[in-house]
Amino acid sequence: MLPNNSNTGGQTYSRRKLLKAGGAAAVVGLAGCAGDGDGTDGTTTEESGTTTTTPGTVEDQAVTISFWPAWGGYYEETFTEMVSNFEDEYPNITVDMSAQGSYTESRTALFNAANAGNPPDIGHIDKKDAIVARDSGFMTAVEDIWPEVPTDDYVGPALGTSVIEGTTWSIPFNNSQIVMYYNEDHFEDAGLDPDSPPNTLDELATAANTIVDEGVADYGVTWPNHNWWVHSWMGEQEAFVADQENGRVGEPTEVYYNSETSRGIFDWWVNDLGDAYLNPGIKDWGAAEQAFQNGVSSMLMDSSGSIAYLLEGFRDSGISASVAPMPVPGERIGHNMGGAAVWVLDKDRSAAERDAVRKFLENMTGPEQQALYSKATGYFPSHEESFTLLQEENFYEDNPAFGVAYDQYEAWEEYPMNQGILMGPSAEVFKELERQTDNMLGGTAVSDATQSAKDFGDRRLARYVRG
Amino acid sequence: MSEIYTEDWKAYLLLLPTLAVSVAFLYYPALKTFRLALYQTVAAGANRIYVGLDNFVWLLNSPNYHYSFFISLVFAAIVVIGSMAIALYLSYLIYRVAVGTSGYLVSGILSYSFSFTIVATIMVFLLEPSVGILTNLIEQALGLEINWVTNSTQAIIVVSGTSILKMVGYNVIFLIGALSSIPETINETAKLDGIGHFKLLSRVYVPLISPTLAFLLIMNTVYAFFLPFPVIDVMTSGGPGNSTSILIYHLYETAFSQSQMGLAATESIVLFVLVGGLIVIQLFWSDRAAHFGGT
Repeated sequence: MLPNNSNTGGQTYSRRKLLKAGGAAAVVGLAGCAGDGDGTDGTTTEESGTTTTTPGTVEDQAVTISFWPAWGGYYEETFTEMVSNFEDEYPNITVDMSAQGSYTESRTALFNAANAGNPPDIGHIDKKDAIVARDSGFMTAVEDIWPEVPTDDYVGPALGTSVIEGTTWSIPFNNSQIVMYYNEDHFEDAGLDPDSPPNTLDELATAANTIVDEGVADYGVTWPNHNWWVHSWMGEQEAFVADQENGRVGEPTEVYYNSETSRGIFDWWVNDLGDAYLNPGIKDWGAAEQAFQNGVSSMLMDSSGSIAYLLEGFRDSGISASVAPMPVPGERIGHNMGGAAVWVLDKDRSAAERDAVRKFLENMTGPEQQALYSKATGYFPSHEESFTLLQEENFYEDNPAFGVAYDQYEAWEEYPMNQGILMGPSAEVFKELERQTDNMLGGTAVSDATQSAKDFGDRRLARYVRG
Repeated sequence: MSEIYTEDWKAYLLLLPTLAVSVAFLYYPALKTFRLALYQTVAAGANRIYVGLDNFVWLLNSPNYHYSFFISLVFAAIVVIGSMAIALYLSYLIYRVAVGTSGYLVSGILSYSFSFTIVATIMVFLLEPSVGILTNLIEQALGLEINWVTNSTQAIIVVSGTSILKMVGYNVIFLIGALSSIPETINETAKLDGIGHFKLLSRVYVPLISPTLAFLLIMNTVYAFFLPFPVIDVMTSGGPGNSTSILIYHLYETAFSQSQMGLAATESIVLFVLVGGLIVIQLFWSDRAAHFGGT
């Protein structure tokens, strides 16, 4: 699908150039304002609906900033509520919000809009795209807008793809872990203990096959064919996905998709779990969720960020679903955080606009707003204090499903293998792994498919340029 | 008959709007595409590095692209032959039937009135392997397991079948028109001679409507390479693996999922040359094979 926020470049670019040329004196004035942070600013800039016209202090000026969250749908209501809370706190700032369709669509729309010279102020980008976002030339590091950004206040596991080579490029906004939903009735019908869901991959394969053998459901377990699982299970075994410590200490040059650890995961998937696994397709979250909801599969692995809406749907369908931690190969050390971060797009801004963007970032990733977002969705808050707020109101005790996800997050230990993977061509390299996973599930030998995924990844990494 | 326009400049003046639109929205972007193909880009093309023909070399050495090229030809052959053969047979039946012709005609062209996305979405509802409405029924009736999410062959069949379903209606419209223009005397002669249905269709009607068939062959070929994109996007997303990732879908992924605009521009040139070449061959061939009247 084409991005719905793309713009025709020529027209906007001309206007931008015109504004730049015509506003040279204003820029000098703005620089003065930015210097003391308390000057007056009567200039007008106009980009992406951002207009500043009211003279006065930076604090008082009426400012409009734009924010493009990655998705709408179920989550849009919460985004709207959060933005409304922000506007209540800062009545002089108006937020123009435009929800995108998905992480991919959001990234494409942001890049296209920026390429056309008409970007929003704040974008919402998948953590795996951190390097390409940085290298795009379209972003301003958050620390440039907000020099005193208190990174220590944000949860450690989520910062791995926001602070890159010592620079705070973005702030984690929503963070997730993989959790497992299971149908309690199916477990009982299959003679399994609903109070003791599978904790390891071996236990998962046994339970899934038992469910199928007992004729309780067509499939024991399903989850979307998404790189997150393989990467997480590699990390859980203290194995890197790419060299340079997953790209965290330098530019990666190879991926380890053909490693013994990787092949072990696929051997288990294809042979031990085998036909008890329902492959819903590459990144087809909806098909996996539907299969669980319709009783076609008794277990579903999904993002903790979907807990709220999934449980609501399961309840409506009369399914007695419980949540358990993601089964792991052996010892549990915690895996890569999923989710996305908020980025600031590079554009000319007045001092008042810069101030508004900083306030927006601080507010939206602050304790109260993050607690609100977490309760409404299931994503982990980005701010450490949000957990305290949630505990004070006994949220996790009252909502055990959220509590399971929280316990899993709490058990996360810091290893270089479970803080996210940093590489420019992540979209292509990860997608190839998913394609080859499809091929393995369709009959291709694990050794051949993993080698193909590695060959593609290595070639693509060698070709990547930072621009 | 006197000429309406006695001076050339008047004709050019009238052509100017069309020419301007074509230049602005077709030829200029096409030229930019050729230029962009020489660059490697990061993030939608803002950061670009001149790489010469390296993008073409990358495609030449890409197993995924080789497969995509191959499966596009296979897919196009299935869709073109399938949609034209079915449409020809349907049109013949509609043309010959005496009662309820309008009803049959509407049924025949109905699928064309829906968008590709809607047809694909309906097919997903009907045939999704685990929750499709007709999946169980078909599995029990035919004794086979439907799983086009993981089975490449089934995925190609389902995607090309859906594309054929969509295209049949378009072909029927033209073929019914062509058949209706056949002089009644030929039908009467055929009836007197006692020619069977197959012979009548293949030996009499097909040569008579060959100009329409030649036109449809070209249109269907273009269609098969470009228009089934929504069908693939909705139904398989190019999968399983990349088994249904035909060139146009591969190009889309390169451009919009991976933001590699330079490489995507290169892919669009390959696609342009391939389809353009096929059309030229078909035009050349149809000049000889199709009967346009005269001696």
